[in-house]
Amino acid sequence: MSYLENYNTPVGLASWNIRAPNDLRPLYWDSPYFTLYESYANDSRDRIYGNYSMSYNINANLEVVGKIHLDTYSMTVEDRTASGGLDLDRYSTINRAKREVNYEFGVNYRQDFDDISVSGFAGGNIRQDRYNSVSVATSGGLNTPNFFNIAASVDRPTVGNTTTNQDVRSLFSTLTLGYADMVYLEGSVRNDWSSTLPQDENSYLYYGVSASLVFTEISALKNQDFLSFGKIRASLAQVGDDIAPYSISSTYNVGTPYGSMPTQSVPNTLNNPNIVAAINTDYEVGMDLRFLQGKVRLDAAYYISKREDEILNLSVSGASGYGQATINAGEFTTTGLEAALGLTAIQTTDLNVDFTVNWATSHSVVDKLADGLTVREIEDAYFGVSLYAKEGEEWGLLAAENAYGFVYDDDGNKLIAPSGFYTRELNAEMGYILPDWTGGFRTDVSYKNFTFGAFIDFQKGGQFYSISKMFGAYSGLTNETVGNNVLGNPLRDPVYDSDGNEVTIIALSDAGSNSGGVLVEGVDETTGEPRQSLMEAVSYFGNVYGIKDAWIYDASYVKLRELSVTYNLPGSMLSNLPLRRASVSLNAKNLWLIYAQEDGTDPSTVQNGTTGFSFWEGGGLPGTRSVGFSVNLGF
Amino acid sequence: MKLPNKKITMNSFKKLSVVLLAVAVFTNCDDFGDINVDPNNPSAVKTELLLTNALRNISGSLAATTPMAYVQQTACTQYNEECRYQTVSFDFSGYYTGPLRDLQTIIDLNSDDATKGDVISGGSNANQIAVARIMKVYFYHLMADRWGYLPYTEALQGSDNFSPAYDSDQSIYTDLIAELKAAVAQMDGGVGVNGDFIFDGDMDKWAQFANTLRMRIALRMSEASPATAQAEFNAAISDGVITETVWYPYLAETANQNPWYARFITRTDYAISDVLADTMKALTDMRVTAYADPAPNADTLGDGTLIDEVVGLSYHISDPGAITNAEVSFPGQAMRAQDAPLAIISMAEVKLAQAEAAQRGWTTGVAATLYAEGIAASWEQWGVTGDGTALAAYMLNPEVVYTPATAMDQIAYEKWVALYGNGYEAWSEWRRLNHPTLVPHPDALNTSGQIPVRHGYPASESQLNEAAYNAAVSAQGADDETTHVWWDN
Repeated sequence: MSYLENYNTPVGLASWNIRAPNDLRPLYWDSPYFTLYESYANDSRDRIYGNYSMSYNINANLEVVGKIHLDTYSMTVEDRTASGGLDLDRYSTINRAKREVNYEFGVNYRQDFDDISVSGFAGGNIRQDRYNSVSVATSGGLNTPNFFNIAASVDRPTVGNTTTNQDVRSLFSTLTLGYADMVYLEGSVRNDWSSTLPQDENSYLYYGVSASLVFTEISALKNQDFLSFGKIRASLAQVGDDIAPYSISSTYNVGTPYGSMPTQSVPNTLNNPNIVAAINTDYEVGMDLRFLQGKVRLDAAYYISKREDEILNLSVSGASGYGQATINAGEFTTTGLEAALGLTAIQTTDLNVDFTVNWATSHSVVDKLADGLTVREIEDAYFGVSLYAKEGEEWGLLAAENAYGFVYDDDGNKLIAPSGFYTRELNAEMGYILPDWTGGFRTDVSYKNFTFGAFIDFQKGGQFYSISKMFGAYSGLTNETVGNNVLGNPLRDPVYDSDGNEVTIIALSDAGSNSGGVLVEGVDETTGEPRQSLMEAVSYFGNVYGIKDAWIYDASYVKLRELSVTYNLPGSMLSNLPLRRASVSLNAKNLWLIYAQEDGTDPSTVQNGTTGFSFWEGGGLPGTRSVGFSVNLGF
Repeated sequence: MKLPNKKITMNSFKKLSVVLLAVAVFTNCDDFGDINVDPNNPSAVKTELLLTNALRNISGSLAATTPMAYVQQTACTQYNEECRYQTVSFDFSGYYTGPLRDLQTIIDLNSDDATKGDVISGGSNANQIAVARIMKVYFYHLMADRWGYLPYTEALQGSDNFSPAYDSDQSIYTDLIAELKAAVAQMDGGVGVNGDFIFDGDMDKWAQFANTLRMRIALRMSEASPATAQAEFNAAISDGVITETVWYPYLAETANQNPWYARFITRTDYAISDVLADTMKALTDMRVTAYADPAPNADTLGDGTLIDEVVGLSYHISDPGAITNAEVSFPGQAMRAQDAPLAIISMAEVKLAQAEAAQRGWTTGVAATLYAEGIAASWEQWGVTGDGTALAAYMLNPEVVYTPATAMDQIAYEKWVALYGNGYEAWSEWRRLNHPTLVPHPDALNTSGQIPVRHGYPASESQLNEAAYNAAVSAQGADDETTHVWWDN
C-alpha cells in the first residue's frame, strides 16, 4: 500500500490501476492517497440550543409552566476534487441554517387522596421549523489548478437555494391515576395542526391509554420470598404523522438551462392535495417479574403494531407520466415478542456476578398496498437488486431488478439449462431481509474494586446482498476464483474436452483430465437428473455476476461486541483528595466476529441504505476494532 | 454553546402569560397563511421552458452506446458486458416521466380554454401543439422500435390511470403517421415556437422534420406492411422532406456537452470496432478517419498514412483488458469533441432511403443516383470530402459500384456505415434489412447468445402494472431480447 503514496511522479500522477506497463497514469482509479490528501472535504458547524422556562405554583397542587426551547445551527460544507486526477477538478460549498423553536405552555396538577394519587398535565405547544440552504459549485473544471474557489469555475457555476418552513401547533393532556402503589391508569390525548397538510384537513387527534397492576402488592401475594415483585401491564398508544413541507401542491422543477435558455419540467412525483394525517396504533402487553429478592429477573412484552393509510410515496408505472405518487394507503402489521432474563449468580460483599440475556423476535406482514398495486419498491440497492414490500407477504422482499436469479426445484437444487449453465429467471424473488430473532448476552462481574464486563450479540436469519463479494468474484480478487477444481486442476486453466479441444463449457464426464474450469452443479431443468459441468472461469464468474442470488447471504452472526475492565479507586486513596470518586477503565469494542455464514463480510456492519434499512453492503471499509482507556473523576 | 436555564420572576411571567394568551386567542389553530407555499419551485409554468427541456432529452438516446455496440460499430474495452448483451431489460419510464410528460403538458396547457391565453409567450397555441405532437412522435417511435408494445393511448394520464394498457406497436405506428400529418396540418402561420434550439422556431423546418420522420417510419414498415409503407413514404416525400441534416447542437459547457466527450473524461470504454474499421479501411473509406482517432501506437504498426493509423478493437475477443489503450482507436473528435453535434436525421439517411424506395420500385427516382448522393452526403456530414478525389475513388470500388442485383445489401451496408453516431437508428435499420451479417459475441451473457433484436420491459412494469404487462407479453411474445418487434420479420 505505502508505495502508492508516491503518486506524484516526474511524468505525472500515477496509480496502481495503470493504463499500460509503460504508462503509469490512472486507468479507472486514482491513487487512494491522491484522493485522501488532495481531494478532501471539510465542514464546520455552530450550534446553539437551550431553554428558557418558568413555573408558578398557584397552590400546592397546581403549577403553571411555560417554556421556550431553541435549537439552531449553521454549517458550511466544502468539497474538493483536486486537479490532475481522473475526474474533472471541482469545488463546491454549501451553507445550511436550521432553527427549531418550541413554545410550550401548560398546567401541572398533582394531588394525593389517601390511597389514590392523581397527576396530570394540560397544555399546548407551538413548534416552528425553519431551514435554509445555499449551495454553489464550480462547473467545467477549475481555471487555476487546485485553486478551490467558486471564482475558479470555467463554466457558469451551478447555484441552488432551498427554504423549508413548517409550523405544528398542538394541544395535549395527560392524566395518571394510582391506587395504593398497586394499580396505575394513564390516559393521554393530543391534537396537532400541521402546516404541511391541506388547509381543511390539517387537524388530527390521537390518544393513548395504559394500565398496570403490581400484583405482588395484593395482600395474599405480598411479602413472600419466591416472587418478590410482579407487575403486568397493557397499553394502547397512537402517534400521528404528517407530511414533508410543500408535498401537497403541484409545482414545476427548474431544470438545467440549454446555454442561456432556461428550462422547466413536470416533477417525477405527483403530489396529492387530498393527503390526510396517518395515525399509527401500537398495542402492547407485558410483565415484569423478580424472584428471590431480585436475583432472577424476567421482563417480557408482546406487541402488535398496526400502520394504516400511511402517507406513502408510491412507485407507479412510469407510463402514467409520473414515477411516484403520494397517497394515503397500505396496511402493515408487525407482531413481536421481547424478553430479557437477568440472573445474579453470586452476590457477596466482594464478588458480584450478573448475567443478562435479551431476545427479540418480530414478524412484519404487508396486508395491503394501494388499490391495483401489489408490490412497492422500497429501495434500489444498485447493480440489479432491490428491496420490495409485496402484498400478502413478509415485509422486506429482496428481488432481482432487471437481472437474474437462480431457479430451484422443490428440493432446493439449482436447475441447469441445456447449455450446462444455471437456468436463470429474470427479476427472481430471493428472500427477506428481516432476521428471525436477535439477542444479546451480557455479563458483569465485580470483585472488590474491579468491574469486568463483556457483551455478545447475535442474530439468526435475515439476508443481505454483498456487492463487494460480487465484484470480488467478477474481477477475480476473492478466494473462490483460485484453487483447484474437482479434477485437481487449477480452475483458472482452460476447459478442455476429452479430445483436448478448448471449450467454454463441457459436461464433467466429457472433460479432459487436464481441464480447468469451475464446477457448475445442479439438476437438469427438463429431466431432473443431476448434472455437472465445468465452465471456463472468466466466463463463469462473468455469468454468475448477473445471477444476483449468488450474492445474497444469510445474515446470522455471533459477535463479541465489547469487553471492559474498570478499576474504582478505593475511598481510602481519595480521602486526601478533593474527589468523591475516581475510576480508570479499559474498553475494547468490535472485537471478534465469532460466527458468520460467509468469510469476508460482516453481517453486523451492513450499512443502512437511504431508507434506513440495512440489507446491502458494497465496498465499505472493514469494521475496525477499537480500544479505549478512560479516566472518570467525580468531584 | 448551551444557554443557561433561566428562572423568570413573577412579574415577567405575568407579562408572558398575557402574550401567550393573546397568541392563543388571536390565532386560529388551523390557519397557517401561506407558509406551505413552496418557495423552491415555481407553481407557474412557461411552455417554452418545457419545450427546451423536452428537446434536451433527445441527446440521451441519440448518443446511446448500447445499440452501437449491438451493430458492432463500436467495440468494448476492458468492461465489455455491454458488447456481450448482459442487460436485457431497459427502463422506458424516463421517456414518459421526462420529455413525453412535458410535451403532453404543453399540449394540455395550449388546449385548455382556461390556460391557453396564459402560454402564448411560447408561440401560437396551434404551433406549440404541433411541435409537441411531432416531438412526441419522435420519442414514441424510438421507443416502439426498442420495446415493441407500449403504453400509448392510456399513457400520460397521471392519477387518472396508474395502470395504462399497452398498445401494439403496429397500431402505434398507424397513429404516429396520423399524428404527424395532423400536426403539420394544424400549423397556423402564427408565431413560431419559442425555446427551440433545433430550428429556432422556424415552423417550415418543423414541417419538413415531421415529413421526414414520416418517411423514416413508413420505410420501417417495408417488410411488414409494404403497401402502406409505399403509400406513406411517397406521401411524405411529396409533402417535402428536409434539405439539410438536422443536428443536435451540443455546447462547449459541462451541462450541455456531447455525452461521448463526458464518457471519455475519466474512462475509455469504447473503441471503433474491427468489424467496421477493417471493412471501411479495405475500401479506403475516408470517413473512418473521422469516426475514430488514430491509435497512439499505430505509427509504428502501420505504414504512416492516416487511414492505417485507425485500428479497430477486436469485437469478438474474450479479454479486451489485455489490449492497452494505446493500441486501438477511440471514437473520433468529429463525434466526441465537447461541442461536436450529432445528426438527429441526416441527409445521408434521407437520400439512401429514397434510393431504397427507388430500388423497390416505389418511386420513379433513379436509385443509383440517389445512392451516390447518399454516400456523398455522408462524406460531407463527416467533413472528409476534401477535393472529392478520395470519394470518387471510393465510388469505384467494385463493392461500392451500384449493382441492382445486390443493391439492397449495398444500401444496407451504406446505411450501417452512415448511421455511425445514431445508434438506435442504425440498430433498427440493421434489424429491418438484416445486412451486414454480424456474428454475435462468442461470450454472450444473454440466454439466447444472439444479438438482441428488442429490449425487455423494465422490472417496474411487471410489478407495478402487472395486468397490462401480462396482456402485452401474451400478445407480443416473451419479454426478452429475442422477440421481434412487429416490422422486423
